Amino acid sequence: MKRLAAAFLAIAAAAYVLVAWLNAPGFYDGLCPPVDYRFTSPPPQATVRTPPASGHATFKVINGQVQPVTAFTDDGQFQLTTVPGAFNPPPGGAALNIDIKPVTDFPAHDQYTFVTNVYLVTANSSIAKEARVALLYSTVLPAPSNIYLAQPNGSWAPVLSNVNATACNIIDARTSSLGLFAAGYPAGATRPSHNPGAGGQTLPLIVAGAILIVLLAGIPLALVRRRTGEAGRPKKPPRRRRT
Amino acid sequence: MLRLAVLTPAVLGLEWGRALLERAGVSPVWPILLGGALCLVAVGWSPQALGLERSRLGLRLLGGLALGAVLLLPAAVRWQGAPVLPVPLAAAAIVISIGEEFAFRGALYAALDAVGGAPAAVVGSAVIFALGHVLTHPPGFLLAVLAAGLLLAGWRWACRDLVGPVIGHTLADLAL
Repeated sequence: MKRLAAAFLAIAAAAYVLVAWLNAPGFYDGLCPPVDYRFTSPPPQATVRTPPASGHATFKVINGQVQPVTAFTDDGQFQLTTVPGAFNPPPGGAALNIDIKPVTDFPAHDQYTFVTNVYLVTANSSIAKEARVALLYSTVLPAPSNIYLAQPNGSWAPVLSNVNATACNIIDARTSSLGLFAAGYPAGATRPSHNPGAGGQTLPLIVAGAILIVLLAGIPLALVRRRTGEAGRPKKPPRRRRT
Repeated sequence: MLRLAVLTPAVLGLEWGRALLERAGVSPVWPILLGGALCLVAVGWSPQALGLERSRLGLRLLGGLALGAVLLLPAAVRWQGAPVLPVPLAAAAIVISIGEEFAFRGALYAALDAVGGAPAAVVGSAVIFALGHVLTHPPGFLLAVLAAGLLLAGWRWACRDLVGPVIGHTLADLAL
């Protein structure tokens, strides 16, 4: 019976590892489900081939102040939010128009590896206060450590202000200018960690620690149990000698 | 049989309700409450029937670590970094994983065992566990959930223990 149980557990463990290997990351409880990210240029491991969506939003100007802005792409992959008055009123009393577009033509980013699409955010007025940009990122690529903004000179620079992970697979930061945005990490950083925590190596360390504890504590425990079992077992009666 | 007929829809209802709330983006308090409610379905069962005895606690804890290592192994090997769960979500993960173990490998397992024996308990609880995750997982991932359910229920049967699955499941939820 013990052998049957051990064999079943071994087969179940092997079957799980095999199935989970085919469907990375394996077992999880739906708290941070995989993201069906829409890439402009899908990497080989991406299963979704739907192109990413754009977004457009119009906001009224009341009493000379632009109302709070929440603009996003139709697929929810990029979002811009502001407080009231964050944009200067457009000239001529016009409403504020914001456009968000995924683009494929953008300056080279040799220093940074991007894991999201590059989004171009434009408005018919200039920004006066910091706005919050939030980018969804895919679960088939490494997590980003920052959001980058294209500079007027054609280079890219991190958006340093208040980078956060407020929800699963979303990175957000505050910016005081619009333009081209993308999330990623410095080139050459093979295992980038996310800003708010040391998530980069956590999982391998947990698994290695668990295996180590099981090995280090399991062997002495098994030995103690074996000795206890032997001590508690009744001794065999001595054999009678044949005469 | 009556217990099983009441428990199965109750557990599935709680799981699907939690999934719908998470999709709606509500505060993590609600998933935590529903996870806690999953623990309540184990009320009325003896600790022995649930696999919650105190004997061989060291081995049970080690078993939990071993189960956690197996559950996380495929992801750990291909790990490329991800953010740590924010504290509210981590709290939800702990409560939900404990609640699910009490519900699936605790009460449901015991009810199925009473009706059809160990094979029905192991396979039945794993299938219901996978059904409980249809709203939170894409179809392709349900096979991994079913396999995880078989592994955890297999441990529950082989070791008559629920402590190991609780620890393994919690580790997996916190890390992924």
